[in-house]
This record gives sequence, C-alpha cells and structure tokens, in this order.
Amino acid sequence: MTNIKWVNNILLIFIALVALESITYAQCDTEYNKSLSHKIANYNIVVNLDHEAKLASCTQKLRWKNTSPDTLRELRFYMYMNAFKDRKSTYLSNRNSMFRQNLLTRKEEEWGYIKITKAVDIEGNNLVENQKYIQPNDGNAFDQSILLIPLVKPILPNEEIELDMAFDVKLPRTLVRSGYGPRDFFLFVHWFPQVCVYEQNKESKWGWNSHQFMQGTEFFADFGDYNVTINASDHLVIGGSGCRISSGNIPSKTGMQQVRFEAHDLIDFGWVAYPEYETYTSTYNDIDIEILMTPEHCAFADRYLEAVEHSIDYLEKYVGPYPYPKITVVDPPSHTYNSGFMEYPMMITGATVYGMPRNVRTVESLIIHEFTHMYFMATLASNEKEEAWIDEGFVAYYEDRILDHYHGDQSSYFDILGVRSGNGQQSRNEYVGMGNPSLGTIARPGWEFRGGFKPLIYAKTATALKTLERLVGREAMDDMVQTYFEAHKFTHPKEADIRKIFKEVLLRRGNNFDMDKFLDQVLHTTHSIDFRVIDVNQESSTILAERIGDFEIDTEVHIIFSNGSEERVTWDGSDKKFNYTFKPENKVVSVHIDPEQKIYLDLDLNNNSLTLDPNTKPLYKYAAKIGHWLQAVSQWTSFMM
Amino acid sequence: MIKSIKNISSSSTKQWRNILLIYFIQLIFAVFLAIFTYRKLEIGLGNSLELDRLTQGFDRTVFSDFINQFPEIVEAIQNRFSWLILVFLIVSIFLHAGLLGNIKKQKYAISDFLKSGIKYFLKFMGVAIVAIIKTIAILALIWIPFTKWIGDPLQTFHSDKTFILTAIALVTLSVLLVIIIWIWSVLTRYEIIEEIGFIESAKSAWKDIRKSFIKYFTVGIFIFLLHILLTWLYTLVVDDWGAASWFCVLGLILIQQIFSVLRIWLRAFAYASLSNKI
Repeated sequence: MTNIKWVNNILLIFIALVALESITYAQCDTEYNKSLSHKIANYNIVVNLDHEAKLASCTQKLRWKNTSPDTLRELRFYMYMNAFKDRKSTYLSNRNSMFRQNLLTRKEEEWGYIKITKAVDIEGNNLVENQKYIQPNDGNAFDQSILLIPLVKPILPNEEIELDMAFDVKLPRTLVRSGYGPRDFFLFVHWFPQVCVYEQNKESKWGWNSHQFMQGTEFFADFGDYNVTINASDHLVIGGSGCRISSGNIPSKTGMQQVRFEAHDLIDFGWVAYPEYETYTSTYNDIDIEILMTPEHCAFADRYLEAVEHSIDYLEKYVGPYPYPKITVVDPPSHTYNSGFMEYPMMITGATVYGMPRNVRTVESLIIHEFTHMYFMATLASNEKEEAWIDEGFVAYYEDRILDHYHGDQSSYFDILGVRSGNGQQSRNEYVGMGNPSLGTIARPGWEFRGGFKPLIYAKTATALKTLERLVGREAMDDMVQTYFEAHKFTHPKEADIRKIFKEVLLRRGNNFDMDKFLDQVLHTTHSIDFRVIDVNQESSTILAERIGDFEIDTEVHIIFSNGSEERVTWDGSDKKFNYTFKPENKVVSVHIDPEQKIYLDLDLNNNSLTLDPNTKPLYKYAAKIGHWLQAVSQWTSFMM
Repeated sequence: MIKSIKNISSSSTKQWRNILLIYFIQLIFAVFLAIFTYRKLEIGLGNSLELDRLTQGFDRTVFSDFINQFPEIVEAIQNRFSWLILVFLIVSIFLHAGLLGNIKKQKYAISDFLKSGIKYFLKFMGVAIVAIIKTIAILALIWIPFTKWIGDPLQTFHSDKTFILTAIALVTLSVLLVIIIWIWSVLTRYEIIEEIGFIESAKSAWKDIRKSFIKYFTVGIFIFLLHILLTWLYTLVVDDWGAASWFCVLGLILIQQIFSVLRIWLRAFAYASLSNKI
C-alpha cells in the first residue's frame, strides 16, 4: 500500500510540474519570436510608485547601440511628460483649454513632469550636470520635451553605451492619454527618458530624429528589450506591455506589491494601474489575451475579446503572424476617457459607453483599429510623427476590411432600425463628406495639420488603399502588404520602402499598374476626383462625361444599348472630358462610369451613371417612408394639442 | 377590467368615421410631403443606376453621397417636414376637439365631430397652451438643475453607468410627469365640454386625477407603452423592406397606413378610456 501511495504521489507531483510548466509557457512566452530586431535601445527600469503623490521614482539601466557609421558625442531623450509641465510647452501652446479642461485654472498638483536626477556612464561620469533641453522643431525655450545629454566618452560605430540613470516622473491629471484620474487610475505612457532615433534621413544623412512633443504626433523609437519592475501599493491592479513574469507582495514592505514585466523587440512600454480592474484572460492562436475591464463595462469583455480574436485571425491570414506572445487590452474608466483610444506595443486602450448596443460596433471598430497597430506601428515602426499616414492609413484600411469581413460590408459599423453602414462606407464618407476634401496633402508631418487630420490621414488613406486594392486586385494587394510586412518588420519603413515593395510585387505579378502616379496623387497632392455623366444625346448619338478634380486615373465606361448589347470603353485618365459617339441606330439605355466602383475615392458615386430607364421604385419607397414618418411624428407630437 | 377595455374599445371603434376623417387629413399632409420628397430625390438621384442598390434596402453610400452633394435638398425636406408638423399641430386641436366632443356626448356622426371641432377649438387651444407651458416648466425644473449640476458628467459621476442610469431615471420621471399633464389636459377638455368654465374645469380635472390617480395613470402609461410598441413593431416590419417590385412598394405603403390608422384609433381609445362616462 505504502509503495502504491508513493507512486501515486510521485505521479501527482510529476503531473503538477508538467501542468505548471505548460501554464507558465502558455501564460506568456517571453522567448516567443526572440531576437527579431536589432535591439538598439534596451531598458531595465525599476519603478517605485507613490500613488498618493502621483509620483514615480525610477531607476533605469539603459543599453543603447550605435548602429550608425558616426561617432556620437551626445544622446537625445524624449521627455514627453514635460509637455504637461505647464501651458508653455509646444504641445499645449499656451492654450486656455483642452479636451474640456480649463488649463488656466488647473491646479499646480495637476501638472506633470519628468526629471533625470542621475545618468552615470560605465566609467562613473555623471552626465546630468551638462544636460540641456533643446527645441529642434520650434525653438520654444519653454518646451522641455527633448533632452540632450553630452557624453564624456563618445560612442563609436557599432559600440554600445550603458547608462545608470535615475528619474522622477510626476503624472499630470489626464489631459490626453498619459496621466492619473480619480480613484487611483494611472496610465504611464511616454513616461520614461526614451532615446530618440539616430537614423538616416531621406537624403541618406545620419542624424538624430528627435522631434519635440507636438499635436498630431505619436511614436518613433528604436526596438529593444524591456525589463520593467513596478513596486506599487497592492490595492492596484497592474497591467502593461510585455509578459508579466512575476507578481506578488513585497514581504519587507507592508501593503506593497512588485510586478515584473519583460518584453522583447518593442519600441515603447506602457503600463496601467487601477484598483477596480477586473481581469479576463484567454489564449487564442497561442497568443495570450489579458483584458482589464472597469466593473461598469464588464459586459463588454466578450466584445473586446471577440474583436481581438477576429483581428488576430484576419491579420495572421492576410498580413503576417502576430509577432508577440501577448496583448493587453485596457478599458479606461469613464472618468478618464481621454486615456483611451490608443495603441502601445503589446497593449491597447479601448473605450466604450455603458449600454452601447451590439448593433453599434464602435467598440469592435476601436479595438480592431488599435490591435491592428500591433502590426502597423509596433512591428512596422514607421515614423508616426513625420509620416503618420503610414500606420494610421494602413490600420484604418484593415479596420475596414476586418469589420466588413466579420459583420458585413453594409452593416459592420451600425445597423439600427433599418439604417446601416459598413465600416468601409463610414471611412469613405469621412473623407468624401469633408467640407473640403482638398484641404491638404496626406504625406506631411502630423504637426503641420491644422484640421482634417483624421479624415485625411485615416479615412482618405484607407479609401485610397481600398481603391488601390480594387484596381490591382485583392490578391495582389495582399501580396504587396505581406511582402512589405515581411521585409520591413522590426524596422522603420518609410514611404519609399512601401513604394519599392509594392512596385516589385506588381512587377513580379506582371501587373503594369502605375503605382508611382497613383501614390503621388494620393499622398502628395490635394487632387480629388469625381466622375460625372453630363448627357446622353440620342439625337446626336453622343455621350458626354467629365472628370471633376485633377486626380488622373484610367477607368472604364459601361454602355448598355436598347438592343441589349453592351460596350466597355476605356477612359484615359489624363482626359478631363469623355466624348463618345455611338451608332445612331442603336439607342443608349444607360451609361455607367467605373461600374465596379473601383475608384472608391470618387467623391460622388451617384453621378457616375445615367439611365434613361430609371428604377423609380426606391424613390417611391423613400418618399412614402418620409410621408409616413410625418404621420407618425405628427401623431406623437400632437398628444398635448 | 376586460369588460371595461371592451367597452372602451367598442366606444372608440364606433368613432371609425371620425378616425378615418382624422386619418385622411393626416394623409393629405403626408402625401404632400411625399410628393415634395419624391421630386427632390428625383433631382439628385432620379437618373442614377445607384438607385438599383436601394431595391434591396438601405445603402449608406447612396444616401451619404446624396446628402453630401445636395445638402440644400435635405434642408428643404427638413423644413417642409417641420412646417407641416407645425400646421398639423394646430389642425389637431380642431380634430381632437371633434373627437373628444363626440366621445363625451357619445355621438358618432362626422357632422357632430365638425360641430364640436368648431365649438371648442379656441377653448381647447387655451388648454393646449397651458398644457405645453406646464410641460415646459416641468421639464425645465428637472433638466436645467441637472445639466447645471452635472458639469462634466463623467467627472461628476465617475462612471458612465451611473450617469446613464441617472439620465434614464430622469427621462422616465419626465415621461411620467408629462403623462399626468396630458391626462389633466384631456380631463379639463371633458369638463369644458360639460360647459364648465376654464378655471373650474382645470381645477376639477386635478381633483379627478387625485381621486382616481392609479386608474388614470395606468391608462396613461398603457397608452404610452402601446405607442412605443407600435413604433417598435413598425420598424421591425419595415427594417429590411426592399423595393424590388411595385408589389413591395405598395405593400410597404399599405403597412404604413395600417400603422397610421392604428395610432389614431389608439388616440380615440385613450380619449374614451379617460372619459368619465365609461
């Protein structure tokens, strides 16, 4: 008996060990896809959070590699929390208010800052004494969002530098994203001294790419490994980028916990803390999903999860494998909504409203959008400051594709009481419905926008990419994007890289589409396009149409004649007018420019066609509907009369 | 209870001529707007092949492009809609006077309907104005302090759930109070039909409400919920209604008009249920 017991116990221990091992593996494999990037900027950060003072005292060991051929005598750091130091920063530009908050009456303790107190190199030189803030963009002496630290010992090409640093970061009351909110909510993003990017510019010259924190700009940083240890009050639920490799109370400090995160090949690291979070976990396609939900939004957890799963499925099929072992989804509390709607590597923040019905898919649209940024931003880390259209445009395009694929292209965005819209339709309408669709070009730095940022950067680019997809074919489009992803993942691709890949793929596929002409017009001009049939004259046997706007693109005109025959005529994109003479004995029934609606950028698709035998039934239907609504509304409103 | 409902139902159904008269007057307004809308839509879309997309139901792109390109047409339809509603509101005082007069006096002829309409039009307009003023005052009392107090709602409430539930509670409270005002306005009119003066009628109506509050209030809520149900049913039925054939279009119009008649009958039912004689 005793022997059997022993055997049983050993078996149980063995099974438990195997199970524990597999749980550890499945929870978050930090070795997952290891060594994907050049690991230029590597951070080992220890955070001590004083949640009452909203202050984090941190140490940071930085290991940074000079991959340039230059000898560097300085390092530059993003110190973006200083954008919220006062109204004088370039980001706030002396505004009186922002996001419904009055900046003039803002209390002293509601501002934030970041301050490096120590930066010692391997030889013991304290570099802090000579540090200075610089303002490469606008010379605003009050702006402290970029810090220059001169080095005592220069960094030679291919050499690494190690800095032992200490810094304090005081969170502002949330204006946008980073900051604290009521009830001990904290979102730490753009929160540590992060090295700017030393890179080759468009003219192939090496130099620092170190933009101040300005409106319309987001990420641009080098890839690297992150080890982040957070010591904080144990009443906080903490989540973040990367894998949580350990967590537990600190025995020597009552009421304190320590959470350690590890992540490879990220361009940034963000984390969140809030006592009220409820955690939902799941694994999908070997990717761990952690969802932190506020109690009032717990009913949305399944919608968040489904949106993430749809994104993983679709993007892995049509773009490439998800390169990280985990994704953390954060639902911001409603009192600090401005911390939502954002992407960070391996962590996204959503947002929803209590009671939002399932047939209004703003939640899905947002989560899919932010998750897609794990591909276009986190992995294909283009410069979001200088070329915001690259990541936002591709993300908006895939957001449309994913939503439309899973929920129908006519109803994926909302479907209420017979009124519905697909996400792609919504994107297009954001662009074509702009007061002035020619407001500005897409391909320009984010800080140069004075209006029209979202409709141009997101919606117009997504609509242009959909147009491109329809012109070259879905298969070719997928091939182009997959090749782009594979060739440039974990690098900083620029417009030129995308053009090169896209052209190469089309060439390989034997497609002679003029990519340069298309992209030049979409990205670098304000040209718009609207085809219009002007007239069909049966007496003179002519069809007259025009292209309003300067966007040149070839298209087809589909003509149907009264004897049932059809004809497709090519309209040369360089011609503004289309004049076509048909045989007098064959009367025209209808003319349709771009009948497959390939040119989705067209500002008005209704005037692309003209028929002499119109289908008036829908007109009667909608006229009757309006008439009936009058009956209903007059009945409701007259109850008091 | 069932007997009462049967009686009320029978009394309101006996008003079928007057219900149809109200319906036809309302239909004239609707047809007027529908013709106007048809002509306007025809200008923007009349010769487009995109109309074919609408045969299967709603198409966002077709409508968005139309609205983007012809904002003046949309505005014109909206203006016409608003004006017609306003005119109908004034006409409805006359129609309701006719209906209430007939129900109170248990008469069913159109001539009686018209006589009552003419006789009580001005007096009922006074009741309507007072009722509207009361409604505005009640809503202002609820919503002005609320909107002043909440400031930034998410900061005040810390949770959108609390905010939304509070707003729903206030909307419900508003609806309930407005229902009471509506009951008062109907009962006042009944008193006026009894040839009692305006002030006395108003007072008597309040007295009646206090005396049989639960009965009246239940009727009010019941009628309100029935209207909600009808609207929900209508949208459910026509949600995916296409326009693939003329049969579809005519079918839709028929359904719409059935719902319109039902709503007017429901009004007559509501009036009958508040009449003291039933």
